[in-house]
Amino acid sequence: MRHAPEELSCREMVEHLSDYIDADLDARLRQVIDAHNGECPPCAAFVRTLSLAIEAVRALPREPLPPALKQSLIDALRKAAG
Amino acid sequence: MSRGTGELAEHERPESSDRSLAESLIAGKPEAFEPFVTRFGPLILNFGRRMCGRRTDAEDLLQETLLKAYQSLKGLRDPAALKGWVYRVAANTCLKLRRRTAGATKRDLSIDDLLPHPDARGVAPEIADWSDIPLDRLLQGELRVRLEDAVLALPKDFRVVLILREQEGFSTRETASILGISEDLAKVRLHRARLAVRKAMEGYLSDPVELPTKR
Repeated sequence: MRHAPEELSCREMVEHLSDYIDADLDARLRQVIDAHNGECPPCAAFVRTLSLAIEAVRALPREPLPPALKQSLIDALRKAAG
Repeated sequence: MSRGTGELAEHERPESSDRSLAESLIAGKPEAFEPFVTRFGPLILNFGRRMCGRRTDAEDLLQETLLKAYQSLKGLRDPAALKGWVYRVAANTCLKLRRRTAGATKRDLSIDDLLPHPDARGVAPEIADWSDIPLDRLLQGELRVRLEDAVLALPKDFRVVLILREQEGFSTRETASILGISEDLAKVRLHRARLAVRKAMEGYLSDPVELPTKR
């Protein structure tokens, strides 16, 4: 089993960020990243902006299905069924 | 607050409903068409909008997907897996449709292109910290257009992973299964797609802050 390193470079830290944001990291590596960000404001800003970008993509609004399109799809399926 | 099953919207119905829906479709019951379209129409329309960009392409994708999914349903081994089946058809169809769509980026995403770099003197990069912008502002007007464009500018293999994970709510494992790729590859593509969207938004937002860095 690989143990988490004591320290990470900025580049190494970024490689783990998706798992970090998804809470999919072991506790030790998470602590290492937290410690890195505590000492490295640019990386902390990088994590915050990455998190917001992900949140924004998730929150992009969805459009409703127009009733006319819904009916045309049902008609197309009926036609395909013969 | 969690909602009971009885309060779920049509498009959020659980696998048990998908099983009976798939079984009705396979049995050739025409009354199943309406719930089939109600269930998957809004989902695949949204998927198509995020993948193809243009509304007309998304509508074409939706019709092609529902027809293909219905006509190939007898190949579905587990009727409860109807949702993944429909998305698999949509993803395959979409990748073909987008070959005819202008603007699709074909290049790969290099991790080095997505990270800030020290300048020629080795000085640490500045990071624009725009994380204090409220989420609802990011989702309005020009910023929303920029965000949508950032997603659309992703290479197709990365975009589809990002959309399935972040917009359509599939897990990494489910996303990998839908696309027929390994979970590790799905994770790599998701990570790079996220970094690319962040980088694209950075150009439009906030002033950079110069702070010391640890290298």
